[in-house]
Amino acid sequence: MVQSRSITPKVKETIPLESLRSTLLLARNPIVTPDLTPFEKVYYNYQEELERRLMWTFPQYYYFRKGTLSERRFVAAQKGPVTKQPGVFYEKGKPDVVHNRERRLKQEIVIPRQETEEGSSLDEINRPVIPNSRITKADEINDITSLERKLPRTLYLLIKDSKLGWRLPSFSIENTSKGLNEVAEEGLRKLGGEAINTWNVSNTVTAVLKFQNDKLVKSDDSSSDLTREYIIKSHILSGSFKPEDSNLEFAWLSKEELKDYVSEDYFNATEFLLSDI
Amino acid sequence: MFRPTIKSIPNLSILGRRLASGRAPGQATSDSTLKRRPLKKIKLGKARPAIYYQFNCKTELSDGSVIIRRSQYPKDELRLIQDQRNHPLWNPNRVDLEVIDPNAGGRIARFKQKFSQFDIEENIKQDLQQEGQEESNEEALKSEKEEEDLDNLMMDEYLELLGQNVQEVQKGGKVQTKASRRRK
Repeated sequence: MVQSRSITPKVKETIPLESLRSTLLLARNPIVTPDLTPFEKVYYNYQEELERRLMWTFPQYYYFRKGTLSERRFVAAQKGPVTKQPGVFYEKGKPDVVHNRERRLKQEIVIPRQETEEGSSLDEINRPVIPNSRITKADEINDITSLERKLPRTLYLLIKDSKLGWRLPSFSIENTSKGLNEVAEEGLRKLGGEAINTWNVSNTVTAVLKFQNDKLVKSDDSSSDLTREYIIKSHILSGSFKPEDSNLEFAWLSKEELKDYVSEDYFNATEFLLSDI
Repeated sequence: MFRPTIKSIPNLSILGRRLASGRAPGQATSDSTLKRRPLKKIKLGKARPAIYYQFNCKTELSDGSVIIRRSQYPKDELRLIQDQRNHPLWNPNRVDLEVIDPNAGGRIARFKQKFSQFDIEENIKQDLQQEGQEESNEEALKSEKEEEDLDNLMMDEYLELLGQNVQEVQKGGKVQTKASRRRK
């Protein structure tokens, strides 16, 4: 055994640390549900209507006790079905009413709104619930540094390098005591301040980009003078990226927008890492 | 009037039955080794799926975001006081959050306030703590005991004072006798 060990060549190629870089793929996940395509919209609308049509009659007696004020208020708010009268021609078919419900159609229940006097303290509590707009202020002014843009899409952090243009934030490795993921995390905080909370998906590298004289080369290239960028995947959970250096340009971009910023080679090499949603 | 005579009534009734599955009765099953599925009759009004009436409830979370969720409860708008957006369990890195007890001022809380002194486990814990302290310094214990004795004495005197000239309240009253007997 000892002999066989001694036979193996002792020559070990030392890789210079400058040729290794840790790159961070920092993503902001979608905040709202994805936008629906026209087909999806029609499909979901059909399913919804079908389910509404098949729904049982609302058990009013279960939720509103007979003779109570709330029951009276509820009944008053209902539109009520058209009843069948003898000798009347009904254009849209004869009414089929059972338990005060038109059986041919879906049941539509109106929930009475509690009205309050103007200026009363209940006004604030009873204000109507209005869904927020999916298009934010940042969308309108197209503020690419804002995290509140493109809510239904995944955004990625891009940084403008003076030499190489727009790219993912990349950090050099000073010594071997720290892992690639730690280098990336620390580098991000050096660039963008401590007021950011991120979560690394894994300590393992997601992808490798190979460069030769600052130019991307194919992944199977095995020249000796390559610079390798190891991509670490991470998510931003809270806080924001506020650059310490005010001259630093950064952007949060979706996949499509990213295409216009980075070079074609760079996009082709990183495209598979980026989410379509 | 011509009326067709119906000869085999039971046969007709079988044909008229609405069958959920399986073959109609009377068909041969000799070529199949599979067992025939039992015939299930679909009762009137049971042909539809059981979908209870549901409302699309617009629910506003504590941070102002609105989600639409389905509920059988007759309400189309709901405003939450505490949810995942302001609960420390979901926001471990925020320090400004507090858990709001929704039952504060409820029956359980009132009960605890009233009878917390009878909570055996807590009392035992307190006693254990006290014992630990006692061992550490006995002098303090002696003075405490003296104080306790004095308190007890004062309490006894106070209760005695309260008990002076007290007449027991008679509850229930006297049982009414029958009117006929009273007249006699």
